[in-house]
Amino acid sequence: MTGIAPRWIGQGIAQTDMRDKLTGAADYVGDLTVPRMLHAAIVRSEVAHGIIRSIDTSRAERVPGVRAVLTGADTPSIPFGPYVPDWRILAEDKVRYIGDEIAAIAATSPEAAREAAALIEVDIEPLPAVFDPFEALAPDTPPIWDERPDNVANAFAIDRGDLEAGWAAADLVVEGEFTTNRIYHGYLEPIGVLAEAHPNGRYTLTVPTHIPYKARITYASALGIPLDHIRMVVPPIGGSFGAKYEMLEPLIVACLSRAAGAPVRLVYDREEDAAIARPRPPFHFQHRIGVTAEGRFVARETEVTGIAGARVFWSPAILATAVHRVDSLYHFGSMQGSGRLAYTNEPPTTAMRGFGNAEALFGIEQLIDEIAERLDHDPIELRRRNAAKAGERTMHGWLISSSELPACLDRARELSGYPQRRALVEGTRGRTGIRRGMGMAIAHHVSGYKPILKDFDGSSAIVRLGGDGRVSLFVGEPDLGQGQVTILSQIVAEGLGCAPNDVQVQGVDSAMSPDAVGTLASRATTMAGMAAVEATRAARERLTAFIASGWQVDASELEWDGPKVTHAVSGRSSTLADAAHDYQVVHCGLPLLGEGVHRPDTEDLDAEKYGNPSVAYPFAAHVAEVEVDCDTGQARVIGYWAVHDSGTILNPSTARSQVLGAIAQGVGWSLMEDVDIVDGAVRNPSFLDYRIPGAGDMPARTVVEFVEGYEPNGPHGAKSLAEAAINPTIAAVANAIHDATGVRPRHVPIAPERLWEALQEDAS
Amino acid sequence: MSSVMDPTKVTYLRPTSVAEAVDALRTSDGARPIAGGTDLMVQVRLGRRRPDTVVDLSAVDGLAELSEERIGAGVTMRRLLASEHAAAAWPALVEAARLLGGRQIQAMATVGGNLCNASPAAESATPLLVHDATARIAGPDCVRAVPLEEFWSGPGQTVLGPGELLIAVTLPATAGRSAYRRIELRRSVDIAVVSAAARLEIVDGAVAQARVAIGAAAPTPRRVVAAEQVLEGVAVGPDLERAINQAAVLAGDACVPIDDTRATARYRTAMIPVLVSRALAACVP
Ligand SMILES: Cc1cc2nc3c(=O)[nH]c(=O)nc-3n(C[C@H](O)[C@H](O)[C@H](O)COP(=O)(O)OP(=O)(O)OC[C@H]3O[C@@H](n4cnc5c(N)ncnc54)[C@H](O)[C@@H]3O)c2cc1C
Repeated sequence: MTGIAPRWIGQGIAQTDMRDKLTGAADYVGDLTVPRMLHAAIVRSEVAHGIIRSIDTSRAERVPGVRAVLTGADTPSIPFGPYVPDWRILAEDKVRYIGDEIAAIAATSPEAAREAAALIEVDIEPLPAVFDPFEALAPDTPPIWDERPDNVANAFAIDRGDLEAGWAAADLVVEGEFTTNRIYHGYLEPIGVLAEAHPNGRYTLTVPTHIPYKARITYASALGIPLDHIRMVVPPIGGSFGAKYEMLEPLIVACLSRAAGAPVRLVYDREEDAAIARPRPPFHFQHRIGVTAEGRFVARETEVTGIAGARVFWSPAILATAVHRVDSLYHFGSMQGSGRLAYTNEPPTTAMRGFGNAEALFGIEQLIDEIAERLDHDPIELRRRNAAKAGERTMHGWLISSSELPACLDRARELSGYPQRRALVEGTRGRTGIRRGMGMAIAHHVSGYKPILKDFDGSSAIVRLGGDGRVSLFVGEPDLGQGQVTILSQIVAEGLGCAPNDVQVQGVDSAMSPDAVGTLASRATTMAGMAAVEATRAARERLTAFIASGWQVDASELEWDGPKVTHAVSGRSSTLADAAHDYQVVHCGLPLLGEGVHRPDTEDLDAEKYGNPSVAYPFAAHVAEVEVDCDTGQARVIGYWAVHDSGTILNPSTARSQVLGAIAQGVGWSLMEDVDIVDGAVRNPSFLDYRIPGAGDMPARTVVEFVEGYEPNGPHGAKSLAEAAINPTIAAVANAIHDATGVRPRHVPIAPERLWEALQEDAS
Repeated sequence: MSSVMDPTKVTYLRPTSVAEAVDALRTSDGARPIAGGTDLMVQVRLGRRRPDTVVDLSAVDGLAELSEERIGAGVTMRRLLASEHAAAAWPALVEAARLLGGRQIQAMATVGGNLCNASPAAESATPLLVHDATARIAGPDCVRAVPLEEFWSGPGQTVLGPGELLIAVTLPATAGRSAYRRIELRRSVDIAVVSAAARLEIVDGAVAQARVAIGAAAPTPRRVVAAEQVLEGVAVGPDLERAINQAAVLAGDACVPIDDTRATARYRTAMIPVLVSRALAACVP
């Protein structure tokens, strides 16, 4: 820190890529066309579980324009997958869910491809299917994968401390069952891919994935080729929220391209995207918390059962989060947690913003309210008292390098008037007519998570200062639309003295970008940001040294002011652009490069899963106010207060957007969003019946505030934000509904019919 | 997944009179009128309808006329929302228009399209029922009038024969207030889970005429005559409150709803009395 006021850090500048996106200039996969490009269509199983007896492709092959028809027999048959090798490029002998990929077509038009797909005849002998996780895990249920006779797709267990002593010390034990549901990510851009198989055996895959290098490992293993035979190119991404990690589609399209000898593009329409959507995994929680009469948590137990679907995508990491992440938000004294993921004959589930943490908090934060009520403690003070504090190591070894949670709690109380205001409306709690209530929840999250891919826990970045004065930044973390390119531009601009709009953050291309885990686990701003700070500093130092040697002065005598450099003694001056030009001339065309390596101070977890996996932890305190129409069960969020500690706020405008977006997603999740699957079939694959909230559903009063903080391990003091912002939402709304009606919501969404049912039950 | 209509294979006709429109509809068995297209185009995209000829009604003379006792089939929701007469005479209908879709949909969606699409949840149906609307139909042979209650024969089905068009609905001058209520799962743009409209004409402190209609609660939008009967003649005050409760229960009894992804039949049946009593209560001055 130089002590000079920052020029760009902390400025709420408009997103640097917004203009291109708003005017349609940004080229998403669906906008890309290349010569000879063909279009793909996929034939899917309409049966939830069965043996493929035969596939007749002959009629499809005769459709004019068809260039390739593939079945499982034509694709490499190497089991693969990010966690469990239960993926196949196309189904081989069995289908395991409605939507399972059986065959694929490449044709000269999307219409021809679809027509051909409809003509493929698949004869399937149905097998008994299972859709309930508990039934799937029951002893005599036939397996979905022979390799896993018990249908356990993944299991996670952890314990810490003296649980027996914990329960013995408890004066009050609260417990409850809670379930969370499947959520469709609802991004604007449906999944798409453009694949080109080159004659030399290599591939170029243009895929809107946010973990391109991790995905490449999976793809290379599936195709049985070396890593460097795949070039991953990431175009602009029209939203993901976790859905576009490692998708299967790029492999199907790569094989089609190989077979057809031409580039092939696949772009889903909304119905296909939503029907095969790999939603947030649904979880069933059994939570138990022990607390002393003074309000100190002493023991916690949790048992989590989730659904992986017919194949394992990223659900195991989400399960682990759901079981034990909350132990770094609160000190529970001792804990034991276990979780299982069941195979079912349903579409696979995968990551979504919040990643199991929001799901766990849905129940935990409601139980904490119950404790406050039963012990007659202030719900805010109870939380403050048990929360992990800055400088502490939590029971699993997580190191809280900074936390302004106490300030968040104070501001949430001041801004919302909770719980004093709640007391005012206390008398109105009831089960008839219109009722109002307020509820709060707190949350935290990580900023990166080392165990995901130990090879690249940190990040690296390259700043390229061209002789034409153009500045580019290369990182391995793609932007998903969340505004990260803007923040990285601000960081580079701050360090170089140019303006953010002069900085082009390049899309990730494995042919030139540094390798990285990618954009997940709330890591990109923190990790890529730190690497960008380093790379920018290196570029500046190299340029300063170059100028100093040219002018034959001491580098320490050069002073930068924005893009201008002056030699204090002689008064001689130059600019960033001129100096960059000279540099390139002197170096025979080589642009000035600055390299940044950020190696975070995180720890490998030991055999007991102990260690600090993340450099920083953001915190949030949210308060929701609801109005419930008890006669119909319709609930509305009418007020919302969100107070956050994300360290330094690099861009208040994009930060605020992230929180508003999280509130919108939280309102949707808590009140209306639900992938409705019956007997393995998605009943609502469209925005007509998969409801995401609109403007009319947003609270009339929404207050977003950031408390002052500084995270020593993050760029300019920043840490992550966007996932921490969704984590408290559903619990806050649930607590508010309880406050209004006395009904304890056990499931999300708390949709009208479900709340009405609960009000009926409790009334009788 | 869905199969897209190939526009090059569809004949597009744009008649300028009712007679021409009727002729145009008879050029092919696969001909379909299109008004705002907000139902039809969605159904075409999902492959649920595959017209080979579309007859655009937007240029048909007189179809978009709105007068004191007549709403042309081509009148859009936006027109209704802008009309002072509609607001004063048919408040239930205007409330329904306000709830139908979002701004963009309201600009395109027509009353005729809403009625002819024949969804049991059609927003304008129950308000028009409580205003005693009559459907005016033009066909190859004649022009006929059908009470709106008899216009639908099932979900997605109307009494319109081949070559027939809905021209307008006509409404007798009615007194009193009307109101419309619905249950929706989302406040911004949603289809009704169930709906109800009511109208009460109060003369000398007693109900002179009552109308109650329910939507998405049966294969077609329908009036509940039994509920109307318990209201008529009742004096405003506690008696009317009791009668409203009774009417609400009777409306619940008239439900034969379905289970679908939006709601169970049980919830729909339970919500009808709530909506009917709220709509009726709103009609009491
Ligand atoms: C996003 C969205 C939201 C919506 N929200 C609602 C809602 O809240 N409530 C609701 O009720 N509806 C809703 N709808 C459905 C639709 O907008 C309405 O039903 C609308 O009134 C249909 O009118 P239109 O002019 O667009 O009909 P079109 O789509 O043009 O026609 C509908 C049908 O009627 C036939 N038709 C049209 N005019 C005539 C005529 N004069 N004679 C004979 N047949 C005719 C057509 O052939 C077609 O079968 C929504 C639709 C969308 C896309």
